Amino acid sequence: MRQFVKVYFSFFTVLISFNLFMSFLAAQLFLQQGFNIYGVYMIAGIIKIMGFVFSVLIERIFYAKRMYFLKNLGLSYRRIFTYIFLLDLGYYAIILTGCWMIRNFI
Amino acid sequence: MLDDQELYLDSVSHRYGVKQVLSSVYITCKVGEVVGLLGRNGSGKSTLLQIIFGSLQPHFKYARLNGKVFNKGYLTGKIGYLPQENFIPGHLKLEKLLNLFVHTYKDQIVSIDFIGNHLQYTMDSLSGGMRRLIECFLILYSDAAFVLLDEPFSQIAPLYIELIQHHIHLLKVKKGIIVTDHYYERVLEISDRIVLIQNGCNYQINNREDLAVYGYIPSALN
Repeated sequence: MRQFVKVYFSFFTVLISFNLFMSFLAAQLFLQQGFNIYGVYMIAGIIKIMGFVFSVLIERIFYAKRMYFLKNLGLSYRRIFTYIFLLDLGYYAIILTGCWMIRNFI
Repeated sequence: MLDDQELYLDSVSHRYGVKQVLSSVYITCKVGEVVGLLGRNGSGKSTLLQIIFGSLQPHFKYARLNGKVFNKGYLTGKIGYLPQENFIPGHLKLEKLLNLFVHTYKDQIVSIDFIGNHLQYTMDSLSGGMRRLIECFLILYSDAAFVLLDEPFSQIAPLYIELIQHHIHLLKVKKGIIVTDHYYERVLEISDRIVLIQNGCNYQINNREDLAVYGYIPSALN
């Protein structure tokens, strides 16, 4: 985990930014349509899944160059993506909470 | 305790397509020894190191580290691997790389002249040979108890080859090291044991004559 934190911002800023962008895109839907429409959840879910799929595809381009570097740090790509996606879901939850508060209290 | 640490591989079999590269290969390495791995081009030396490290999944292997069965060596955090090609992204500074790779032996590695003098350099700004040398030292001085060096002497000036040999000798007290290179004389000089990979099998080499017997070097050279 310690090693992951060290490489998180060095190598995956594009990936993190891209997923944050997708999170804000999905959050925009909730801001406009509200939290009571089932379809919004579906579309937001699809946006997030698309973000994850594209992230994996983008990262595959750099895989060969980074593979031994990351593995020598004891990190597997599966573990890295698990951490990145879990953190991203955490950010997403915070963004959605913010949106919910804006819609209901402001 | 260090004496108990052992890397053990048995029954390693792997093929590329129809070509059987490794067939029931057996290799061990204990902390405190340097194992030289020799073989002709395409004999499977690098394949074997990749299998130990875990970056290549063989058709079969039985692997133990300190008595515990493992599948991928890099996930144990105790095996480091220097691949043949450059593996460190060019935009990283040496100082940052030391923070990532080296913890236990940081003082020792920084005290090496060419490391200490290049702390603020990115890998891209170094020459090919210097970059290779630094990668080799990062793996050697990493926290891994077992180090796999795949052609550490290639692209390196003779003076620096001796430096690598010297540091391998220093570190072998604390680590187990498997080294393969086509500069076989250099490998012979630093190794406690030599294993030859040929026709997919491993052979214990006891002297230079054995290398000639197995056809690794011409008879006239031994």
